[in-house]
Amino acid sequence: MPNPLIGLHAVLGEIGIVAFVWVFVEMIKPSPKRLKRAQIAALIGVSFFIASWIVGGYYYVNDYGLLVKPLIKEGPEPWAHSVIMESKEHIFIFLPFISLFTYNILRHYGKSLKKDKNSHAKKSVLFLSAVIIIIGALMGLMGYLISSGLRTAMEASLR
Amino acid sequence: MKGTNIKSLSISTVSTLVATVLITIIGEFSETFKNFLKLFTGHHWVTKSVFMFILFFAIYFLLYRTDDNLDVWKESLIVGIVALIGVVVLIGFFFINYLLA
Repeated sequence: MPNPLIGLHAVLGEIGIVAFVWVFVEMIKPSPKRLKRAQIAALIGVSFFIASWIVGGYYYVNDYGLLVKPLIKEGPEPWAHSVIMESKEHIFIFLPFISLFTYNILRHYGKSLKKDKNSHAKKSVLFLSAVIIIIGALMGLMGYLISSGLRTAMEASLR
Repeated sequence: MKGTNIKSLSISTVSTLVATVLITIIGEFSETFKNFLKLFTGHHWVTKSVFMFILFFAIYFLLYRTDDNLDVWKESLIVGIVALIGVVVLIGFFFINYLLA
C-alpha cells in the first residue's frame, strides 16, 4: 500500500487549488457577499497549501528519499525523479507565497473590490488565481509522472 | 498599525521566488553548498523551505514602512510572470542537467 502521506499531500494540495478556482469564480463579478466568500476561500487555499507543503515535505524527507528515489533512479524512467521530482519539490514552494500575496490583495483592496470599482485589483486577483491554478495542476501532473516512474520501476523489477 | 503593505509584500514574494530558483540551481552546481544547506536541518530541501519562509517575512517587515503607493496590477503581473518563468527555468534546468548527466 502506498504511504498515506502521499494521498494526504495530494488531497490538501487539491483543496488548495479548488479554493483558488472558487476565488476566481467569485471575483469575475464581485459583490460584498462574493468578496467575503473569496476572502474565506483564499484563506482556506493558503492554509491547505501550507499543510500540503509540510505533509509532502515530511514524506519526501523521511520516506521518498530513502525508499522511492533509489527505485525510480534504477528503473526504466529515472527522469521521473531527476527531472520531475527535482523540479516539483522546488516549484511547490512558490504556491504558499503567491497564494498569501493574493489573499492580502483581497483583504487590502476589499472596500473597492466589493463595489467592483477597482479593475486593477480585480484583474490582479483573477490573474494570480489563474497562475496558482496552473502551477497547482502542474503539481498534480508531476505527481502522476513520479508515481508512474515508481510503478514502471517496480514492474521492471518483477520481470 | 497600518494594514498590509502590498508593495513590500510584492517585493518579498518576488525575492522569495527568485531565491528559491537561484539557491536550487547553485546547490546543483556546488556539492559544498548543498552540504552547507544540510548542516542546518539535516536536509537541503528542509533548509531551503525554512530559509524561504524566513526570507519572505524578513523582507516584508524590513520594507514594511516603504511607500505603498503602487499599481497593484503591475505588481501582480510581476509576481505571476516571475513565478511562471521560475517554473520554466527549474524544469528546463533539471531537464538539461538530466540530459548531460
